Amino acid sequence: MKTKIFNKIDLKLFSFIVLTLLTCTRAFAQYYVKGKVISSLDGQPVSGANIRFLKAAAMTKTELNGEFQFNLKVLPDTLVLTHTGLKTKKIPITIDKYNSSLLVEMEPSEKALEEVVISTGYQQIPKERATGSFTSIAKSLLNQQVTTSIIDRLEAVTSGISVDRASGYTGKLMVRGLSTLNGPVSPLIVLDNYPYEGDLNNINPNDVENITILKDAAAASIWGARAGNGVIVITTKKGIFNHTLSIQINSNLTVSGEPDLSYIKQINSSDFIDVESMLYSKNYYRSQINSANKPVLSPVVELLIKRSSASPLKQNAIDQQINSYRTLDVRDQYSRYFYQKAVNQQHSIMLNGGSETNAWLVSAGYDRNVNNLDAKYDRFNLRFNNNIRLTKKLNFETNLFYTKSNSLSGKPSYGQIISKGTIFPYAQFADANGNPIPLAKNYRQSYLNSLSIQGLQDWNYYPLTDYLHTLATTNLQDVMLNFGLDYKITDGLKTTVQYQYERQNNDKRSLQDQNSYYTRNLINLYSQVDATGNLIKRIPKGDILDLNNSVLTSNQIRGQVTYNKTLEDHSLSLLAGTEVRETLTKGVANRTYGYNSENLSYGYVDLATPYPTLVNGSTNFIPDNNSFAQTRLRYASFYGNGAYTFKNKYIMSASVRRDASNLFGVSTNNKWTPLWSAGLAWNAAAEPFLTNKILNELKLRLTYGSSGNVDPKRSAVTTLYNQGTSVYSLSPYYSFDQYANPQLKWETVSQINAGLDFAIFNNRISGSADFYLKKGSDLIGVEPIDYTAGVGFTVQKNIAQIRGKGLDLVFNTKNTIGTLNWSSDINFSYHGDKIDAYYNSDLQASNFVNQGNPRISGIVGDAIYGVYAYKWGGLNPTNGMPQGYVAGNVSTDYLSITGASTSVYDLKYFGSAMPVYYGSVGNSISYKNFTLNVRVLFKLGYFFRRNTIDYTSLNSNWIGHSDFSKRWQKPGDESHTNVPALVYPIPPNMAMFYQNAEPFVSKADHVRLQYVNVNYRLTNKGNSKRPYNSIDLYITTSNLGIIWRANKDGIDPDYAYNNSLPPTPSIAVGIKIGL
Amino acid sequence: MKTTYLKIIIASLFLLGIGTNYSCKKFLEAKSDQKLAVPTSLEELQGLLDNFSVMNQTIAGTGEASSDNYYLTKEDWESLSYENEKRIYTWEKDFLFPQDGRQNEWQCNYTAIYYSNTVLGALEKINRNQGNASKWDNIKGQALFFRAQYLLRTVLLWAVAFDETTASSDLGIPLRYTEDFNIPSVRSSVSESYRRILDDLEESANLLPIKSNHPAHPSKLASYGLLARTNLAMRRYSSASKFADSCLNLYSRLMDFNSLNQDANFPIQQFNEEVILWNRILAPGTISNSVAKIDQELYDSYEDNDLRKTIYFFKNADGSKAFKGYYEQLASPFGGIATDEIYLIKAECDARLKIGDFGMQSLNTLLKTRFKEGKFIPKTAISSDVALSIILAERRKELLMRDLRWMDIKRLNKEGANIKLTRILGDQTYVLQPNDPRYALPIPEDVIRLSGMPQNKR
Repeated sequence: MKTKIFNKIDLKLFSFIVLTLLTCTRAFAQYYVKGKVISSLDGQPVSGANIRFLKAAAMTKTELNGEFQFNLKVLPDTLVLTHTGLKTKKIPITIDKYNSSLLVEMEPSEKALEEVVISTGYQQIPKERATGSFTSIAKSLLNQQVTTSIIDRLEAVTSGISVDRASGYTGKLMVRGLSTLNGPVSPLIVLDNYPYEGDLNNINPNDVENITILKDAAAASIWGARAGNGVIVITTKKGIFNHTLSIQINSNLTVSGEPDLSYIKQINSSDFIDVESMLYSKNYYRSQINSANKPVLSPVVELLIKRSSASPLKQNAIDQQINSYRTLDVRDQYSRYFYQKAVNQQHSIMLNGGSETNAWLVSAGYDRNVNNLDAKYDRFNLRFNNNIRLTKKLNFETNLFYTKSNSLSGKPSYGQIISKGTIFPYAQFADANGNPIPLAKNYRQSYLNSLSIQGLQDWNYYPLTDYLHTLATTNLQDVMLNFGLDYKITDGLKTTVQYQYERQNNDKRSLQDQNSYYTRNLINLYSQVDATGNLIKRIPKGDILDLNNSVLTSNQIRGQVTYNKTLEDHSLSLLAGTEVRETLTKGVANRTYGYNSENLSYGYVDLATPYPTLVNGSTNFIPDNNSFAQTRLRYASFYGNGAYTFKNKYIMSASVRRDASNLFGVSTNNKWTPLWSAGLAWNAAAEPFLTNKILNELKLRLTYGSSGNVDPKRSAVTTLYNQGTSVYSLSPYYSFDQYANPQLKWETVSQINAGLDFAIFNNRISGSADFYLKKGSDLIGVEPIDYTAGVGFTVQKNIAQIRGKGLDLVFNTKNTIGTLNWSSDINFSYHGDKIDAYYNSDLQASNFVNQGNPRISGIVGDAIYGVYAYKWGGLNPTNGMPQGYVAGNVSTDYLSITGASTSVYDLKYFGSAMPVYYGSVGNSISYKNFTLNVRVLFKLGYFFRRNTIDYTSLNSNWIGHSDFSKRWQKPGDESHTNVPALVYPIPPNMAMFYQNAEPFVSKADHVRLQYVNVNYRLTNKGNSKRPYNSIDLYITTSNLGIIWRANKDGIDPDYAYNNSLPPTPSIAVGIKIGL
Repeated sequence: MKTTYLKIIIASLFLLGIGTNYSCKKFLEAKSDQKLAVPTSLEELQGLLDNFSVMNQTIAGTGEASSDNYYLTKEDWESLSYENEKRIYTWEKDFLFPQDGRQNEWQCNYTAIYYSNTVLGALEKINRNQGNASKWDNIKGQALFFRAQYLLRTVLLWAVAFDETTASSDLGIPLRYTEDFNIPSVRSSVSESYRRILDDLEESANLLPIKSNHPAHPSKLASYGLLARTNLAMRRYSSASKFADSCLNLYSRLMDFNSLNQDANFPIQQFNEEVILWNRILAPGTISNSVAKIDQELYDSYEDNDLRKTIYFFKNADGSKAFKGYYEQLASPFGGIATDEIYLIKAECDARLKIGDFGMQSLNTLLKTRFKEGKFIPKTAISSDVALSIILAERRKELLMRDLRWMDIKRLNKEGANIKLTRILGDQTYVLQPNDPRYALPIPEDVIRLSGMPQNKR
């Protein structure tokens, strides 16, 4: 059963042209006919094709290598080639032709194209029998992009998938928007049959056959409590029965440019120096100068201090020195010394073959990436798949995945060199000769320079070279082994037992050698001058080594019975099973002081005794970096699903599942969450009254179901967390982990999906439309609480009900067919969500506006994540102060504006913080051997908050913004700027107000050119002298940037955070060889 | 052959079924995180009280920051990072506590109270028997002590000074007894608030061992000490005297300042022999010794032979004085209980109650350790009034930067001391008159908003 499906997949995904080489030899009135059948796409031989000779009424089959031979007595004859998934082809063989080669081109049958098989992880169902909403993405589409991780390729090519980069730097993949407010939002990733527990980067993209997205309740509910956010099923390539040895090689090289740091909106050095001089004149730094902690002061402030007691001549020199800093820009330093081009390599080889009883596949992959900051990553993948037909009824399949990867830290990125909140914009890392320049990191440079204690380590911090002394490596090994045993009990009834074991070992090693600033600083800090003037060191000289090991072990076992029976018009498919899973994670971290890698010796420290520290004499403990961790998650599930099809036209399906887990302390009642779904589908095109030449396919689907959202962090009892050993009482101490909240209920998500699949005009236009309604009830959110209760500022409560509605449209068109093949695909998604009910009692406006992550809206009817802003009264024309509103009147009472007197209803609501319309448009043009793919991505209908200058953090943390230069400076400026004037002291909460006010919200809509891919394909065209079946040469350019954006500030809304940089354009060059 | 396979499969499915049905309960009862626990055993309850970052190190010091032991220059005041700290300095009527996610004193106090309440609630479910009686009692005593300590801190800051005549109608603080955070907070009266503190402390004194193994843990000494302080705040001098006696009779050691290195950045050792109960205050930036300058008059009142003059203070570049006499050996004020304070309570009460030499002996015992060896001339007083003024002056000199001054100003003004506070920032002068309503600080506005409790009179 399974193997047939794999065959189908294979035939479906490759389109075949059969080349037949015929040689007929006459011998004793016999004509010897010989030939070979191979596929056109990859030049692979096609085995098991039926060959019928009409006149001779004889039959034969192609061999494993695609060849066949036959003796004919009479010519002419007609040869008929048939194969599942290929169009039947007739070839006349005439007597004058028998001696020459015949070239036969066969096209794949229309049926084979449609016959998409969907994998849910539990079963494989033909798409035509499915009621749910599935999106299947073939490897040919996925391979238009070149990335290390397969998941990264999904956003550009999948309908209904979006990556939210507004609420986090790395981005969160979402299927059909949000289903939860506070729980995990990422969809469940299934690799072949099981949820993938390891690192997603472990998967070799070249091993992937296709990816199926399970979008609606009927599709996903088989995964139960973890399916609330949708499911992504990754299916890997498998060995094929009756197949000759084939070899696939893929090799590519990707080069990405250096990032453009001018994208970062940094305050310019001259402005920054002016601010420092102003603050100095106002004695802002005096407490820092006096502080026994010797806090960092910038070089300009140090110079100003020097200047205050210098002679007029020296003062002049100092002024000149300060002015020389004005033209410097730390971004240049980063570009010059740290950033570089990134180079990624990816190589893979795959061998597969199969006999009548055995199908096998072996693949290996190697990736080597060097990123923009010289951080290195390499990965080695090995995979083995074997499928044995032990008997006609018994099938045994095994898979082995092995991954080994190493990563090595690189140079610091912009913003990573920090001494306050960042570094001053005129910082220099190297002098004119390229020698490292020290930078004050924890203490004033003048203090360090003044120290004259014998025996101290050099206490300077050199950003230029420090990364060389702090090496972090990660070594990951992942082994995954699974087997499945299928037994056909009777016709249609099958039992399956599957087991999977995975072990991922992750070793992190961070060595801060004795020349690193971290180590030198720590040794110096814990040094003490005793009464006789000797320096006593509490931390031994040598490296500091942190080792961190975590091991994930997962065991999963599944028993399943399936029954498939077709009796005339009735077709029944049933599945029932049970599975048990356990994931155990163990972690150990430890630190060694005084480590010497030469002879592996190490030193001792006393972690339980507080020591006076050198700078200010306060006592402190030497940092301890030892810890142990162990988590064990267990799940038990029962599931069942059934489908009944009548006359191949009417389909009914239902599924049910119950999950239980050991999530700590949840009362047993809540442990088992029942989840179910039901669906209907109608293959309308099969109805006689709709059968016509235009309509090739029309299927209507309707499903409903509920799924859950389980957050393992929530508990119904008060739980404590062991914090380790108290250095004071020397016994274990605890903090609260979860507070018992008996009022908490599980979240549920229900979804209705109505869909339509169609194909018209000979399949020239095909596509699907899915309309869905989603309802999330009892969603858990964070609610501010009267903290007199003692459990912190917020508690988790069932605070909201949300509603989402959406439309996923997919259009595939074949615009021209012939020499020039032009096809397009359009993915368009609409997802609108809103708050349906909100039980949060605290509606103070400041809870709904903030920098950074968008907050959950508090008003029924608004988008879940809404962008709100304080109403703007413009800048005061006389002093440039920002003005807001209190009780409808223009006001500069920022405490009131940001306080209780402004509620969320007084804010201006812009709209959703997540794209409401999104999708992609792809065009593929092929001419002769060339194929060009271009893909454009769009995200529309949403808003984001721009960063601007925050004078408070400018003063205290050096964090500036180029908007500083646009600030109000004189009356009249208010007509062309909204950036408030610089004032000192800063009125309370002023920054909190204007940063979150109307002028700093922009439309986030944009269109991006995601990639352009050119492929040149060579096939051997039946010329067996060529040592290959096919060769593809390809070039892919990605991250080509934004082609249209709504905002006028040049901001890429996906990368709008401080210091975040959009990915740089890259070009990949590769070759694929099929042997 | 085939039937064998079939049997194997059916058997394994069957076993799987059994496995999930019969051992399911056990299978699902395993701890999901090995570090998790539920507060059910005495060890875990002790572990909660051992959480020193909650029980022994807290955000506090608003009282000291509101008091008159120090001053700020206008520039330093302007450069303070947090608006609320600026407002504390000028006794504003509102927004004295951060409400932007930063911890504040109210929240820290009630978090510690929640820890205590959880322990007390869980203890009721643990059987007290012969085997565990001393441990059980000790834990209960510790929890009661901590609850009282944090209630006292709260009432001293957010309620008006205790006044026997109006205490039953003056607004006190919310008293919370359980871990159920859904119960709304209600303000009790001042007299109910103090009653609860005294009851908790007296009960804890009966349960706790005389001395604990570490000053982080409360002891009978600590209970007596805090009872003395509480009664002093209530101006119940005979009770205060009684508890000071109870404490000193059990433990009365003092540090000899002659043995300290006065040049050190922080000359006084952490956990020195005077410390009965450890508490570190994470104070507002206002009283950080890089900005807070010691009141010159106060500094000048130390005699030249007084070692505190060099051990407590250092000179800034501009000649002003800053504090370094922290019992924490770092720049954080000590907020716990130490014997020096108990001596001073004893002395003050004796003076007020006109007992014996009006407390002079207690005072001299303490001062002798603070003076250069052989240079101390014992203080004498001919009347209780003279004694009292000497003792109160010495109390301020000994206990500055210990977060006690605010309580002292409040209670002394009730006694008619007429202490008027003044702040000068540039050409602006701020004055806080005796018994001004602002002596009861505003409860954080977000707490008022979320709980509906009445705010203090502004």
